[in-house]
Amino acid sequence: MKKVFPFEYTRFEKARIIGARALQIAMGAPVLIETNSKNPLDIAKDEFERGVIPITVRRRRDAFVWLQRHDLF
Amino acid sequence: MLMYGRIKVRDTVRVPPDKLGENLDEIIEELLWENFEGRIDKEYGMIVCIESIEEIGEGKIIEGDGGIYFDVVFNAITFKPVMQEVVEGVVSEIVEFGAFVSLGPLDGLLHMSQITDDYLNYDEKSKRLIGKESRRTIEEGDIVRVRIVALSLREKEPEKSKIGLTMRQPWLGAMKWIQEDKEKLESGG
Repeated sequence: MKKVFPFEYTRFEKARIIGARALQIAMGAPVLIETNSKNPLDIAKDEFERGVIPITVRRRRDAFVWLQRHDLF
Repeated sequence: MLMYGRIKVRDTVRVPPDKLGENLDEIIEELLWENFEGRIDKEYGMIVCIESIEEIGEGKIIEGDGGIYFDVVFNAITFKPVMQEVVEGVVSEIVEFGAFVSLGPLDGLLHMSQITDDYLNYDEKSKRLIGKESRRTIEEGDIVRVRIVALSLREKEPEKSKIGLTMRQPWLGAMKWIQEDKEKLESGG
């Protein structure tokens, strides 16, 4: 069985994105979603869940990433 | 003339997070203005204005800072006075020890002793310098032709940059004097 892994951020990348975004919000960047929360970290998490954060990760060319898997037997 | 030049510069600009929501190009242009206008470089002179932005690279986020760093390539107009260069300027101020001449972005100092071979008196009331024998005067607003003889551009403190000028050479001086000399020469010969 062949399985192609969907693109997914690792937990480290996720932490980096949410952290950077929370810091931006804390320093006065405009919030991209409707929310009642006042906590920048919660807002950043919410934004990440909805996929609206305009931040991408530049992976090293030789970084380890799951691409696909063939189950042989 | 080597006074003005156009240079292409690559540098990094930090965009603070509270400016993010607006138009990025405009913000970067604004920040470039703030950061580079008036900056002095030994080799290229003083940056007078940002002409155009050629390229805005991908923004980078660095640990511990909410700002975004962009690599930017831009064209700038520079002003670079060169030693021994003859330039024309406007007298912007007369003081006891000489005159300040505006060369454009920077002012140069024309010391009393470098104005004429004649002895000069400072007239405080009319803010003029008057020659003792020739009765030639120089006052604010006069156009003068001068030579740059001293140059000290300070990279760290642009306000403290100094330009020294002289007019004690043939065909240098206030344009009205040169005009007089010319007429005298033509009528005589």
